[in-house]
Amino acid sequence: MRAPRDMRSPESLVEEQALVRAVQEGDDVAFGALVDRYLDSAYVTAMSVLRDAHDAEDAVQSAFIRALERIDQLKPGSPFGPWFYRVLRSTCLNLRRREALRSHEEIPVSAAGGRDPDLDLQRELTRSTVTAALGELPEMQRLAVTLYDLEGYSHQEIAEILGIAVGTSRAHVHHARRALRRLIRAGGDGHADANEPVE
Amino acid sequence: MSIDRWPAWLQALRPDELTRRRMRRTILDEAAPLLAARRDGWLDAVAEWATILSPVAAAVTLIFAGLALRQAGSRELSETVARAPAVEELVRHGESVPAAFGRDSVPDLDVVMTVLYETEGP
Repeated sequence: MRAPRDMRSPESLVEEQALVRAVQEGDDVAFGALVDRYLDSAYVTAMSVLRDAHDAEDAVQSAFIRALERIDQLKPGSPFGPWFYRVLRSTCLNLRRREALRSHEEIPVSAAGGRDPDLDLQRELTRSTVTAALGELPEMQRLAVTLYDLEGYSHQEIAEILGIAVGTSRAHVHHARRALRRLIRAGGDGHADANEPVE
Repeated sequence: MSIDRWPAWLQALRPDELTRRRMRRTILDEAAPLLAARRDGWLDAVAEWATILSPVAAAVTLIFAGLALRQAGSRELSETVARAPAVEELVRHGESVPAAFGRDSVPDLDVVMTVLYETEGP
């Protein structure tokens, strides 16, 4: 069963288009509101592509700035979300190409937080299990299932964002969910079992 | 989709609050000059249009002012002509303006005097 799409209700989309127009005129409050809307989902999408917290952070920051630089290219009346995810995906791929040229040691995100070590450790274990499972999937499957579960995009919309056929999107989501369920169960050692995707 | 409704496997990938705040601050800091440039861009565009349009507006104003002055001048002239004593006199006597007073011709002073003497009653 799919969750309701409150961020994609007609009212929300109208409000979002007003935000986009305001950003085009240089309104920083409107830009902050757009960032708040998409920050979490952009980060999760970037994580699903890059599987590295620092790279995901860099990608999200760059994607928002690139989106701002090119926001005049967004056709009037067009939804911001799918266009932004195209920018984000392209930013992630560019970053990954750059990162492939140099390797670096990952620093756990929780090390910077340090508020509740047990909670952070648990979170990090779950995250690493999910990230490892995602790493087993082909990139298109990762992105398709993330966009489907994250934003509730239809296969038609996912097909447009990723530049693939609608049937291919359907197949990617189906295979990705099956693989994730299997991989998280196998690799989770218990702590990620409860987090398996629900179809 | 609301974050609370994300599937659990996606919840695991969410940024923690510290990361979220750091990303937001960095994005907004980097965006500030770009947004300021956009605001200035709009003001510049308005100023540029004002610069382009002001001579045109001035020219149009001059043309209309000229037309208005010309119209006012011709109306004043026609009223002056209509009030000319000779013409009023002719009208009072119920006589039409002689052909020599045709609208387009400028009557000779002798002709005017002749007409006045001829039309003078007993």
